Amino acid sequence: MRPKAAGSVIPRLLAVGSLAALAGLLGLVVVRTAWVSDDAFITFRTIDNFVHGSGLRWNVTERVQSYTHPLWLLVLTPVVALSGSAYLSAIATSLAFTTVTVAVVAMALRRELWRVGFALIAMIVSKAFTDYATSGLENALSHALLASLMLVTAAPVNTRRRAGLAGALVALIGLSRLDLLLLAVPIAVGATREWRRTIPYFALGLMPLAAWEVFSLVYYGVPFPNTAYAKLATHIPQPELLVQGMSYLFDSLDRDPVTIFVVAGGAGTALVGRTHSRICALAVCAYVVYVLRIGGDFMSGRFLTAPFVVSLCLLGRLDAVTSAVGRFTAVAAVVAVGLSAPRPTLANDASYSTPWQEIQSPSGIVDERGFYFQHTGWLTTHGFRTEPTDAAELRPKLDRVMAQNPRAFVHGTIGLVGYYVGPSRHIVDDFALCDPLLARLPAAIPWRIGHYRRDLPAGYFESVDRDQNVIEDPQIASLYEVIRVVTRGPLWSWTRWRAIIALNTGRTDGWPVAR
Amino acid sequence: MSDRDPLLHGFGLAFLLVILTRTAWWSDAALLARRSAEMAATGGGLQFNAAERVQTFDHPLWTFVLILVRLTAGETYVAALVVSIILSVACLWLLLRRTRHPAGALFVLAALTLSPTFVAYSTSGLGTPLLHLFVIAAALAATTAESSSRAAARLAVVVGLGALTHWTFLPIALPALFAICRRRPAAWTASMLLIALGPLLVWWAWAYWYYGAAQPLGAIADHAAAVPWPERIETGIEFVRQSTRLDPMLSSVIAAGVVTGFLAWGLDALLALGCVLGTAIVVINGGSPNAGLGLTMPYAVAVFLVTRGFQRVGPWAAGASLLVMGLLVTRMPSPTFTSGSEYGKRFRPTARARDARAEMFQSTGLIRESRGRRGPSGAEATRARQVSARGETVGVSSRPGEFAAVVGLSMHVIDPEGLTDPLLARLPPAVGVRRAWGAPRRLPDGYVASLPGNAGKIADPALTTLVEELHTLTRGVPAGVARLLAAYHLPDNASRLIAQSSYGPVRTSLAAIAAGNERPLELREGGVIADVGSRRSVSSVTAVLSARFDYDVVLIDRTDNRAMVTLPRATWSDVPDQNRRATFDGAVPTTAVWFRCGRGTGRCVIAEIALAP
Repeated sequence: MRPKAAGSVIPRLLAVGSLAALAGLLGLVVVRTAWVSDDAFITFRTIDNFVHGSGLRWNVTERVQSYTHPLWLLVLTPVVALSGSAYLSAIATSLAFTTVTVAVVAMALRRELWRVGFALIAMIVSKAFTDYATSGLENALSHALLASLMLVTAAPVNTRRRAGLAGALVALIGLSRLDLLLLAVPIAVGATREWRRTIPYFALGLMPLAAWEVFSLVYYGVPFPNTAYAKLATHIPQPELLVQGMSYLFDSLDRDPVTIFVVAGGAGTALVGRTHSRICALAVCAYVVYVLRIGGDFMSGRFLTAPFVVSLCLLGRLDAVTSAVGRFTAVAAVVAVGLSAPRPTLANDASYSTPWQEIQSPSGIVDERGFYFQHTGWLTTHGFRTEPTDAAELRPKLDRVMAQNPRAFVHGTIGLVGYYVGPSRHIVDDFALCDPLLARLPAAIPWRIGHYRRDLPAGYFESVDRDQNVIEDPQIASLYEVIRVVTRGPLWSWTRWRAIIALNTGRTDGWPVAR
Repeated sequence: MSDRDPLLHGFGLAFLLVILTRTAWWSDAALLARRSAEMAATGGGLQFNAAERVQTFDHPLWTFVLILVRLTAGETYVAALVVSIILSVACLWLLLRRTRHPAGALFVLAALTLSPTFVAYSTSGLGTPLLHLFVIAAALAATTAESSSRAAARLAVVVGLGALTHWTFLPIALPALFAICRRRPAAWTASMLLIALGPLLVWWAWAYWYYGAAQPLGAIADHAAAVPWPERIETGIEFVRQSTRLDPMLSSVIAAGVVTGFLAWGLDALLALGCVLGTAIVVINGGSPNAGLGLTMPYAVAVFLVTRGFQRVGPWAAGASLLVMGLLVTRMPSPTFTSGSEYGKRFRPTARARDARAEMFQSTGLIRESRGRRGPSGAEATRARQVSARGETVGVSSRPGEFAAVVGLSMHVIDPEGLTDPLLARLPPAVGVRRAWGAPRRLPDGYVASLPGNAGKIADPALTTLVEELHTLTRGVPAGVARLLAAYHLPDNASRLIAQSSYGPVRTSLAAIAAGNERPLELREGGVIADVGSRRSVSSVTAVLSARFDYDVVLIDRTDNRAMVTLPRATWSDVPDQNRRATFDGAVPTTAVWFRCGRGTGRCVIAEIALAP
């Protein structure tokens, strides 16, 4: 018996060793590509204001939820408070959550070691996954939560404890990014059994999300983040957004074919196979359709990392024994497709950047990491950074702008600018991510995906600058008056609650304007 | 077992999906069909130009699919490619479902994803994805049709639909259908043949009534080029050679499929015969400027036959085939899975049959380098925008599909190759460019000015008459016996009028050449017809020609230019200023000698023509 045991142990050790090497390689790639996006600095400014006692606000003068990811903000806040560096905190926290993601995915796939290897290879060669494993955005957190949900729901959710856990994970995913509920809810509900017994606990698990919604309604006056209004209520015709959404998928297929390949392959495998995970595959399909419908994003691949992680976890649910040929096909294909990218992740080094021409592409979709990497990358040609180079480059420009505008100014890309200007100036974001009035106005034409510039109504800047509603258009003036009451008025006044109702039901016309 | 291996199916289909989406493109010919579909969907009739009924597509069923796509999705540029991709993924799905062993399934996957030609024509905007699906469905139905009447009926339906998509489907599928029908009652056989051939016959009848010709303009133009069969076959063989150079997997798998099919005998052998006939038709037609086009149907059948062969021989054969495939992939200039948005950026045409996807990709690729741009964006598209901006009503383009896709439906677009114009399609090619497919015509003087509807501006009266005859067919109400009679007489009338026109061959006489009056003799599109004088029996011809032209010589015995003996250019040397002599057995009654221009450049001087009795 002894030789047989040794014979089975050595290959297993070799396999585990190979997996460890792959995990190490993944770590290396993620560290080499670590960066922070400009949008992350929007959250950093809110955290900065919060830590300094100005509330969860971007402009300290008004209560506006300019971040899409409350949970990410709440996780990051204590780290930033302790470390004092939002930039390094974001990278470190992202790396920690990516490590959790890898570990959870490995647990979900542990039934066959090759599946873990496949997932690691896919993660290594996926540009979207490695790009948004850091980035300072919520993706890393979402990945960890989604992978955890997949792990929890791998077996039927038929006990109170599991139901509560599944509900809590769904809630946290929703708190991480609300539209991920499209993925999370079907996954959780599809696995839930013995409904009468489990549903109350599942609902109990959802309480964090409900609590946040209540807080959001009370504090910000609206249930959704301002970014949702800015990006989803643009009045852009749906067909145009659909075409843009297709461009988003095509762009991803070009730059990073392996991400969509894994999404399609994982979902396809679950649909083809007689697994109990077809609902997960359908959730992935529904989420991709949602991405199509909203026109995708300007950051290439960003919205595809969540279905990517879910699809990887789906491999763990294959009931059928896979053939060696099937395994070979999947692994060979993921390697071939991954390496066929124009700039494979393994070849990305410290000099990584995107040519300027690409920024002006008609689709408006860019390799966001490439655009910012030489400024906000962690390991660039200048070695490891402790803060973005932009900080030093921006300072003279910001000083000039601040000297000219003692109270407020208008700016477009407001991440780094907003963070380094500090709380003393009110910034009017004409892309409307952080502006409650502009977010409710139609986008200007021509538009770029994710950058829906709004024309400032006559008198709006003066209104902000003077803290007085002097907007000329009476309808917009009424809307702004309501917004002012909601975002600047006393929290618990009756007038503010009437304004909240008016704002959320769209009945702002005729609201008296205080001149 | 493979049908229980979801991994292979799921990731295999995803692999094909990714590759097809990354390589999706529109060929220029497909853009011609697209314009006709757009025209039909917007109420302008199934025609390319608003002013006249001409058939610029050769895949009617696919054109109807394009119309349907346009009506449902509101656009065709992306939606038609999506439909193509879905059809191609369905092909793989059908084959994988019928493949028992995983190694065989892997072979199918490799064959459909690694062949650059199959991948290129799995989109391209042409009807090829539909043909692939039909041909695979036909092969699947054929193998079960012997024992099942329902499968035989299914085969007949698929053949009918396939033939309606492209007539070249028939030689591939008909042998199997005939073999199945042979053992059935005559009435049943007749009904099956009616189902199989009926749709195409109905379409031809309708096209004859609507367009005045059953053939599309491309076929008419090719016929008018009058390329002799030996030269055409030579071009076809060169086409296969170039296609093999670009995609060695194509001919290898076809050959393997044919051998496997014949070895298996039975219906497999008939499908193999279909492969041979399908390939032969392509070669005899002189191939195409688009490398590999036309060979993908035999390829799909061959993949099916080889996969069936694996089931008899065993999975080791699939393993060996995969090894060979791997080696072939290393011989490919551009493997499919490496093809990204930069594909074709360095394309330079080096051969007649070329990688059409590489040529067009930066203009019409779905995921090309100019991200997010919809519609063609190549040099011809840029020129089209400029022409359109100038407010011109007629556009002439050597890439009419790309041009027309930009200028919209209102501009009258023609091309020198005659693919979109009924007159140019019937004219002989310009001097020195006679070839199978894509031979440009010289635009007759005043022709562009006469478009879209003023034939009087054409300088040549004979051509004016021809254009007026064409107008009776392509414009106005498509009804009436007189119009059908005009359609019937058009080929003869066109030959006569072109011969009478300044566009026809130069007419001279042996006596004039002997007297030296014809030096230098400028050639026109039809070459030179030298009248012998009186009818003589000729057994050899000697000529002294000064030009870098390929010629063939036709001995004519009647004034209506009917050829009696054609001496192909191979019997003549290409060295200028030499006596060139062609001798043949027997005496041929001759009233004129016709030197037909072939390929080449330069001016021609006919110094002497001597006829031996």
